[in-house]
Amino acid sequence: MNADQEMLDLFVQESSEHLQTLETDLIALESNPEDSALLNSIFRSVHSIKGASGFFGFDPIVKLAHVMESVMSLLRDGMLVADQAMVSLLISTSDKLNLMLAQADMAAEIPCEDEIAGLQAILNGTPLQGQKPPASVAAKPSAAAAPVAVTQDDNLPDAGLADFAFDPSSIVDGLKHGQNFYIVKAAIAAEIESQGQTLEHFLSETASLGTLVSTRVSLPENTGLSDCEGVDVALSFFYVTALEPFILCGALGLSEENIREIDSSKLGEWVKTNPPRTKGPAAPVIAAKSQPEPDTKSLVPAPSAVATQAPRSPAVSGPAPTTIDPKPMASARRKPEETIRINVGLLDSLMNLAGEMVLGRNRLLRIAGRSETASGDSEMQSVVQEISSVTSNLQDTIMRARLQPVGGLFGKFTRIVRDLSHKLEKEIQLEIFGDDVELDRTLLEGLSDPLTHLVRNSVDHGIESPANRIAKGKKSCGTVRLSAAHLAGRVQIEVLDDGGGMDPERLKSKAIEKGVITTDQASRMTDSDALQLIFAAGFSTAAAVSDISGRGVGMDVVKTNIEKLGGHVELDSRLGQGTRIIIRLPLTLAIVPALIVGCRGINYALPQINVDEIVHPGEEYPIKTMGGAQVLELRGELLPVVDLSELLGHPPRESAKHETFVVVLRLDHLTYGLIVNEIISNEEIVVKPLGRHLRTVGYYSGATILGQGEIAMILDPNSMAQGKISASQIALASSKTTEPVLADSTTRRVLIFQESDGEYLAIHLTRVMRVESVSAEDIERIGPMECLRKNHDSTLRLVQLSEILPIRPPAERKKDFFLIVPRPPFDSIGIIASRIVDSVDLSDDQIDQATLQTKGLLGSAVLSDRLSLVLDLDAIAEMLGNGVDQPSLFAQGHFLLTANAQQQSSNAPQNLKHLPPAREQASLTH
Amino acid sequence: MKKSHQITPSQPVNAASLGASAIELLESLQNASASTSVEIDLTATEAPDSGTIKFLLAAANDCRQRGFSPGVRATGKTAELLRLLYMDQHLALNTGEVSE
Repeated sequence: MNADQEMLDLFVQESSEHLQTLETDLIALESNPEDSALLNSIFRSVHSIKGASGFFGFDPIVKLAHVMESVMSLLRDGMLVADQAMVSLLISTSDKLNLMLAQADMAAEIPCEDEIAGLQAILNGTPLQGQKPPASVAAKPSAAAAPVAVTQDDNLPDAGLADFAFDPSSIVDGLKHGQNFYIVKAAIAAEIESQGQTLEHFLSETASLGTLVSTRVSLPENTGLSDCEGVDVALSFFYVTALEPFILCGALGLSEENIREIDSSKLGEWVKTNPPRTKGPAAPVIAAKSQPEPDTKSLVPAPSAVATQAPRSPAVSGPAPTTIDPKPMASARRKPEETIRINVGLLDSLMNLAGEMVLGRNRLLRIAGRSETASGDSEMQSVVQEISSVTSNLQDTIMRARLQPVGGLFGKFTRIVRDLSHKLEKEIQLEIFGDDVELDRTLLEGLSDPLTHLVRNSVDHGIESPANRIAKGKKSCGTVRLSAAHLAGRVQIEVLDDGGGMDPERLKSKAIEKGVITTDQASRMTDSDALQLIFAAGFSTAAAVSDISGRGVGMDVVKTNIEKLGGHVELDSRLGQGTRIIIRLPLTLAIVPALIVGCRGINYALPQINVDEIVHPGEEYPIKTMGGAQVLELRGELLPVVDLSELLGHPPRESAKHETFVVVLRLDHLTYGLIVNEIISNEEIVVKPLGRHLRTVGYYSGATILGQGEIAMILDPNSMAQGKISASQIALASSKTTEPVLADSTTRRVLIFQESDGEYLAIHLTRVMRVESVSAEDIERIGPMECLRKNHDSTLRLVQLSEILPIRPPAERKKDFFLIVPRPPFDSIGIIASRIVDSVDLSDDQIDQATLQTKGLLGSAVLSDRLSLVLDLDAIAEMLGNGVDQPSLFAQGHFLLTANAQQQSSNAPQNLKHLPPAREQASLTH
Repeated sequence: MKKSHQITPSQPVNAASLGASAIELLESLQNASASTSVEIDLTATEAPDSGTIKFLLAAANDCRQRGFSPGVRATGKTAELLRLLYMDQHLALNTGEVSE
C-alpha cells in the first residue's frame, strides 16, 4: 500500500469516526439545543471533515460540509436555536456526508441539493417547514443582557475568579499535572500593543504556552461611544500553564504586577466539591453541583441517556439515569496519545499465535504431569508452571486487545429510536447503560442485527402511543433501556421497555391460528412457555405488517443468530408493564466449549451449543429403519439419524457388533441424532480456521488441537444435516421435535446422581446445561470456596451439597468426579457428583413434598426403585448467596495452575450425559 | 438570520478610526427605529486591534442604554479574536462565514 493510499484510508477512517460522533451529538442536540459543548463538538466534527476533504480535493464533500459548518457556526454563536426541523436537516446532511465518504471518488454523484438548499435557507433567514422563525432567530438573551457572565459560587478559592465563567473540568487536567494557575490582567493598548505586538498575536502566543481557561475584556463602567477614546480596554484572563511566575512574566512581556498566582491546592479542594460537568465551559459553575460524573466501571453499568423527546424522568424502576452527552467513551476515557491504531489482521494473528501457545502449553503440562517426569525434576516443574502462567496471561491480554466497547454499537440506536419514534408519533426515551463494557469484535458484529430487531420491536410493538399510555396511567414518554454488564465472565445485554408487554393468551391463540401448537397444548402451557412462542419461525402477533416490524421473521432469527454466537436469549414480559429481553454472550468466540466424540478412532469436536443430549441406543431407545431412513425413537418421538461414519465415507464395518452413541443435535428448525462410536470428553477448544484446501468440505467449520496434541476437526451440525436428512425424515420430526416439554408440562426428565455413597439426588434436566468429569487436582481453593477455572474470566464455583443440605458427606472425595453445571443464570456453579446414576421421567405428582420439607429440596420421589431427593435449584442458589450470578461471589482473574483442566475420558455409565433443550428458560424477575 | 437593524461602518474599525466610527454609529443609533436588535457589520475590518474591541464594548453599552440588543457580524481574524475574548458575553456574535 503506498503512502497516498494509507493517508486516504486514514482520512476515511477518521472522517467516519467524526460522522459517528456527529450523529450522536445531533440527536442529543434535539433535546439540548443550547448545549454549548454539543454545539462545539458538532462544529469541530464538521470542520474536521471539511478540512480533511479539502486536503484530498473532494470538493463536493467540502461544499456540503462548508454550508453545514456555516449553520453550525450560527448555532454555536447563539444566532440560531436548533429545533426539530433543523436537527432533522442536519442529520440528513450528516447522512449524505456519510454516503459521500463511503465512495469519496464518486461523491459528486450523491444528490444533496435538498440539504444544501435547506441549509442555505437557514443562512438566508428563511424558516424551514415546521420551524417557528421568531424562536430560531432569537439571539441568546445572555448575549445582550449582563455585560459579563460570572460564576456565582461563594466558595471560590479566589475572589478574582468570580470575574470568569468556567467549568471545573477545564482545570482538572492542569491540577492533575501540577500546573500553575494565574489571573493575568493587562491594559491592551498600554501594555500589549505599546510593545509592538498585536492583540491577536499576544493571545495566540499566550495560548501556545498554556491554556486560556476564560477571558474577559471590559471598559470602565458606563463607558459609551462618546467617551471611549480616552480609556483603555482592560484584558484579564484565567490561565493554566507549567511556567513559573517570573518566566511567565518574561514570556508574556508583562510585569509581576500583571500576574497573580492562584493557590492550586485550594483550587483542587474546590474542584472536589464541584465535580466537573459534561457540558461546555461557558456555563455557570453552580450548575455543576447537580450533575455528578457517572460511574463507568464495567460492573456498574454507566448510564447515558438520550432522550428522543424532551428529557423526562424514567417510568421504570431501577437506578435513576443521568442524562449526559452520549459521547463516544473513547473521548472521555482515553487520551489520544495513549492509544494507537492497529490493523485488525495483526490482532487476529496474535490471537492465533496465542492459541497455538496455549495448545503447546497444554501438551507441555501433560508431559510434565506424567509420573516419570513429575518425580524426576522439580526445577522443570517450576519452569513449566511459570510458562503456563505467562501463557495464560498472554492469551488473556491479547484477547482483551480484540475487545471493543459496546458503546459503538449502542450509539447507532439513538438514531434508530429517534427516527422511529418520530415516524410512529411516539415519545420514547432511550437509556443506555454500560456502554463501556467490552466484547470481542466478532461478537459485536454478530450482535448488531439481532439487537436492531429487538430495539425496533420495542419501539414499534412495545411502547404505546402517548394517548394510550396516559389512558393507562403511565407517563406519555416511554422508555427503552439498553444495557450491558459483565456477569460471571459473560456479557449480559439487556433490552427493556416499559410498554404494553405481551399477553400470553393472545400469543397462544395466535400460535393455534398459525398451527404452531394445538388447542390442547395451549391449554396446558404456562405463561412462561407461551412467551417462548415468539421465538417460533414466522410467528408474529402484529395486526398489520409495517416496514418496521411485524413480518414474524424477527425473533426466531434473533435467537438463531445469538445462539450462533454461543449465547442465548431469555425473555420476560408482564402485560401492561413491559418486556425484558436478556442476551448472554461469551466474551469471545475464539475459544468455545465442545464435546469431543470419536468415530473409527478419529476424534471430532461438536460445539456444545448444539448438543442436546447423548443417548446410548438399545432397547429403551431403539434405532429403527422407516421408509429406508434411520430414526431414533426417543421418549415417544422419532428423530432422524445420521451416521457420522457413513457421512464421512468410511467403509462399513465387518462386525455388526460395535458400540455406538447418538448425540442429539438441536438446530433452529430441526433436531437430529448423530451416530458416533465414542464419547471422549468435554473440552474448551481453540477454534482454528480451515486451510484453503479443506474449505470446500462442507461438514467442518474449523479445526482444533486437543490436549493430547492431535488435530481434531470441528463438525458443523448445520451442514451435516443438509442433504443428508430426507424431507420425509424432517416431516416426521417436525411435529415432534419442538414440543416435548409443551406436550406435557408436568412430566420432566431428571438426572439421578450421588454425591457420596449415601443418598440418591435428582435434578431436573431442564435446569442442567452440561455434566463434566473433572480431576481433583484441577480444583483451586479461594478462601472457603473451591473453584474450577475454565478459561479467561470464567470460573466455576464448586458446590458440595452435603454442606448445605441434610445429606451424608462423602468420606473422601474421589480423584475423578463429575460436575453438574446448571443452565444460566446459575451456570457459574458446578454441583459435585461422585456418580451419575440414571435419567428418568418424573411427574410433578410423583414428588412427595410432605415427608421432607427442607429448603433446597422440592421433596422426595421413588425413582428407579430408589428413594431420591429432588433438588430445588432456585433455593440452592439462594442459599449459596442470594443470586449466584452476582460477580462479587466469584473469583475472577488468574490462577497459578498446578495442572491444566483436562477433562478425562468419561467412565460414566451409558446413556447418562444429558444436555437439556436450549429453549428452556430460567425464570426472570423484574 | 440577519438582525432587524444592520449598521455598517464606512471604514474598517480600529484605533485609528475609532473616533469617526463612534460618531457614525451614534448617528445611526439615533436614526434606528424601535427595533429590538442592532447588528454592527464588521466584515470589512480585517485587522482588529484594541480600538475595535473598545468600539464594540462602548457600542454595546450605548445600544443597551437605548434598549437595543447589540450584535456584531464579523469574519476571519476579527471573528476569531472576538471568540477568543468571549465577546459573546457582551453582544451577539454572528460569524456567518467561517474560515476554510
